[in-house]
Amino acid sequence: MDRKACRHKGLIEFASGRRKSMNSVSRWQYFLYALGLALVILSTGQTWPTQAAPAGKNVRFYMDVAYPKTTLCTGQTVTYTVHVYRQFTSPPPGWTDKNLPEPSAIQNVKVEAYPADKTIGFFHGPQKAGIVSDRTGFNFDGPDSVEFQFTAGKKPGKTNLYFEGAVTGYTIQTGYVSFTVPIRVIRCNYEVSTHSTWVLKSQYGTGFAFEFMKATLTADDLGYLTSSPDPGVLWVTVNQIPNTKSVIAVYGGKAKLNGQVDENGLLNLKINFNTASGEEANCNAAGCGGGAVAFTPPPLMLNFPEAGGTKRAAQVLDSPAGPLPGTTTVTVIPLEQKP
Amino acid sequence: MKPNSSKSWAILWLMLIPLLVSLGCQPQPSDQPQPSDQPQSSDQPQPTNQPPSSNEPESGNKTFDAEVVFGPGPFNLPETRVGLLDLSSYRATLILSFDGAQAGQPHQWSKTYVMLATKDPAARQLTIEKTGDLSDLAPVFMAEVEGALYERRGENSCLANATEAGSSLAERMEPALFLAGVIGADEAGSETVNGVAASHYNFDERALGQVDIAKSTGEIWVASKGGYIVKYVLTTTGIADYFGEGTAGTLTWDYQVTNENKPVTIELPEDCPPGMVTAPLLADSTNTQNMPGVLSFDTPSSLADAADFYQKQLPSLGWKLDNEPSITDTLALINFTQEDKTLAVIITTDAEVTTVRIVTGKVQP
Repeated sequence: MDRKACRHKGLIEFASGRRKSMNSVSRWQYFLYALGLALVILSTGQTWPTQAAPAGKNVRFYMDVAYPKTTLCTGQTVTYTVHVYRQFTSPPPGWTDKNLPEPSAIQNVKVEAYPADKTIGFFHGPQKAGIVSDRTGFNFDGPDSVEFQFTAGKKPGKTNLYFEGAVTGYTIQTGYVSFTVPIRVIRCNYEVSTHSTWVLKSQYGTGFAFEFMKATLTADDLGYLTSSPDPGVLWVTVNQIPNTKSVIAVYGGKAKLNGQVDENGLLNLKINFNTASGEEANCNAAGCGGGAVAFTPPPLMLNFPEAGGTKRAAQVLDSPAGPLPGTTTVTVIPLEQKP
Repeated sequence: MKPNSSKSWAILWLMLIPLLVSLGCQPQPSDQPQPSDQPQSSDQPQPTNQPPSSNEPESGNKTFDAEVVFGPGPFNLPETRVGLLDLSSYRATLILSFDGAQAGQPHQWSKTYVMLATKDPAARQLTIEKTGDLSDLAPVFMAEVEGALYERRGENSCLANATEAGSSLAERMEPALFLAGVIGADEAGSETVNGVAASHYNFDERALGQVDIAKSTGEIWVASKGGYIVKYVLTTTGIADYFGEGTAGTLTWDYQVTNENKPVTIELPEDCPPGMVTAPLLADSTNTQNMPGVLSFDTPSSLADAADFYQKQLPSLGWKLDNEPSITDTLALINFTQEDKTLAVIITTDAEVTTVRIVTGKVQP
């Protein structure tokens, strides 16, 4: 008797407890074919994670902090947006899509927030034993979330931020969800870039002036930010006069920057551009001639969130052609201080 | 008979092997939904962390499973943003208002969200107006234009950032995403609402999976063509503390979609910086920095080659040369315009490196 015969016999005996005729065997084979085929078809189309939930449970509740910032500058204030989601773990009645419905955020969940190490920073708001709490929905721009503001302290370090929520009212006893965000607080520098454009169109042609500057602000022990050495500023002027060759000049200038992060977590920044001067061919209706020129833009004062960003400010340039209206765009990017 | 029998078993095994393989590919009972199990849509808010694998998982993040009973009706709409992304443009308005008491004192407020969206070119604008007893009544303006996310709160100046994953308005602030999905709503016939043929449904708190602590009544109109929510009204009256400690009252959600597939104009406040610069780079570019309003990079190519590259490439992208380019041995300025936008390509060079700066702006009136 070969192995197939042995297995054949075993299956027959297991199926019925007694030896069956060949006809019976065939019927069982057909039954198994059909069963196997049905299972194969069903299993290949099965993408719902129905096995994920315990029997009878159709919904999972969980918490999420949206794209949490995990590296903070000392003194930086960061907003953590917390959602509590309801996710189907088995298809709701009548659901035919191969994927389960998307998770949906639920309102009115009380969420508590606290740092593991309170010396690293604190959450804003009324505190009970170092814990602040609020509910998802209504108090925030996103009415399905709760926002917590955390301000890092003055010393670098690491800790965990804990968020814990209690879900009630969903045909269940209160259930608990939580989310942990590990954070690292570092000392930061700030990279500040500016670019300015002034354009003067007249009957004689078009004059352009551009300014480009990039600086690094470093903090002293008291938190004052300065640029040292003073960054260079590139000035470019172009006079385009019809039927005449353009008059182009490039100058080097200097700027001085300083700033401080205030109690609201805003980086207040002041940029002083030194007068940029040089020799340029000045052109007018009568023709072109050489001469000394100087440009002096007024100081700029702007505030930025510590996370940085880009702002635009009106800027009038005191130029040889008179005051020129224009704009300066300033971008601030926080950088980790190199040891 | 034996050969036939062997053949039959061979067929059976051939059928069972894929079955076993396919079963092996299924999540095990202890598995939780993994990223591949989540609905995959780049426009949806994807949880940054998936539900972990048990109620006390390794990460320490706690979840729990429950049997939630929903409404008895035949209609389900668990995904409230369904169909919206198929519209070429729309205006969605959500008015959220509360009327009740807090700590024994009358407490009323209202927030109005208006989202304008257009697909081509992709752009969005969200405004939030607030009235009543809210701690922060400053209006909010947000917009997504040309790869930049703009935000202006109250009288503060406009701030721009490059749009990053997870920060887009569609992911964070789509008003439809704030609506509660319904399971088990009752059919209420067909109607035309906001000029759109729609199916009408009624529901109560059971369709939200809620019991005991609040009473809700809601109506929903779903577009017959497109399947998106045209109108959604929900009124929830909560017992004491439902809306927070010491707060009770009635919260009303009034959501409507209008102006479907009609032109939408998104205008940035005057002080907003320009958007991200979209321009080709030289193949050998280094030190590339793309910030709102300016794209800069270095290149070992000569100034003349770089200038030639942009004079050839940008017109093919719809930019028109504005004035004759100004080009010397050390500097080139090439100006372009497209509709009301300007693009200035400024190329400088020294002995070692050529630097290209591309500055975008608006045509001056």
